[in-house]
Amino acid sequence: MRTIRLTLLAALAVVGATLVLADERTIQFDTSVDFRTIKTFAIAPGRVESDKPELDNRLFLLELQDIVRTTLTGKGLTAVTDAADVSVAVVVTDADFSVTRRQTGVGIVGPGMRGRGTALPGSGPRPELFTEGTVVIDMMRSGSLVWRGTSRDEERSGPGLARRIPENVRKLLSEYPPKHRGSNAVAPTR
Amino acid sequence: MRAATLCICLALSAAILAADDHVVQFDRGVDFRAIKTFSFRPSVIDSERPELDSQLVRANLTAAIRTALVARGLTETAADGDVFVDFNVSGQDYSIGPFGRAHPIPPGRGRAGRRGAGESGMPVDFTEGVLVLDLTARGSGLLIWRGVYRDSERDPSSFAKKLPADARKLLDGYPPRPR
Repeated sequence: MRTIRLTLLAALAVVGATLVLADERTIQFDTSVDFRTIKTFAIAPGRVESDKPELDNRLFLLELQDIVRTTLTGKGLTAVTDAADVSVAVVVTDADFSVTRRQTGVGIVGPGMRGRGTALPGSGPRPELFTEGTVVIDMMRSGSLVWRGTSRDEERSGPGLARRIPENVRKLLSEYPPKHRGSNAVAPTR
Repeated sequence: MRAATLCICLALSAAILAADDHVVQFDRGVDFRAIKTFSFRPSVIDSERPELDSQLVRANLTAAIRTALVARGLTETAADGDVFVDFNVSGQDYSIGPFGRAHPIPPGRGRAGRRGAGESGMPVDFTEGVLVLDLTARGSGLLIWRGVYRDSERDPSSFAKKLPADARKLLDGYPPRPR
């Protein structure tokens, strides 16, 4: 029974390793800016640079801008259309990749196979396509960039990316306003 | 023990083969319950494969969309519906190279079929098909609803067969509820 559990655990780890793709976020900001003085924002025209229909359409950009509006309003800022303290723009880009994956075999010591343990055979190389989506949120004040959040995410499909990017926008904005740390960059988070 | 190993192998295979995915996007400022009629606009099938670029595929897909929308209380009109419905189907063939990497086959190639040589000599190993279903408001001309279905199949005829079901899945949640 213990061996079966170990085998299942190993298999889950293998499946997990197969499915997990990279995701990283970075926040940068101007340390000379007192973000508490920023009270109003305006949504600047964003853009999507992609040939994927699930990304390159007005509905997707509207959804992202809606998240920006809701999140910043929730943090006490007010959305205005004129004379805003900062303008916020969202830019989305993507790139397709074709790679190969190999799965190394896993051996488990135990009573299975007449006391010799169990082996999960390796596989591959097999082709894998994935898409890397990058979302950049810029806050500009008087023509200068004061805050930038960048999120990069790898997904197996365009629809997956279309679902993840809104979450990533939320995660980036959850780190606003920044805490001053004496550096203008926060270490990437995974 | 054998059963457990079999389950593990199946789980691994499922993880590798899971290729279908879809997403639905819509304008949250639109009251979709107010939309009562729809009209089809000419749609596009962007593929050189005869299994996809066929009048029959177009007709079956149109019928599936019509049935789904009528079942949701909408009525089809000839030209002046509240929304225009159009769809776009495209297929990208891929060839798996000697080192296991998938290469997209440029247009004009791979017509000869899965293992056919095509014009380039690159065999087609799988096809990634994309169905885009759009609803556009007649009054404003703005896109208000989009469903995108991506499906990887060993051959385009499998993708073509699944298109009506894919369209039904996209329309499953119609009309969307505003948050």
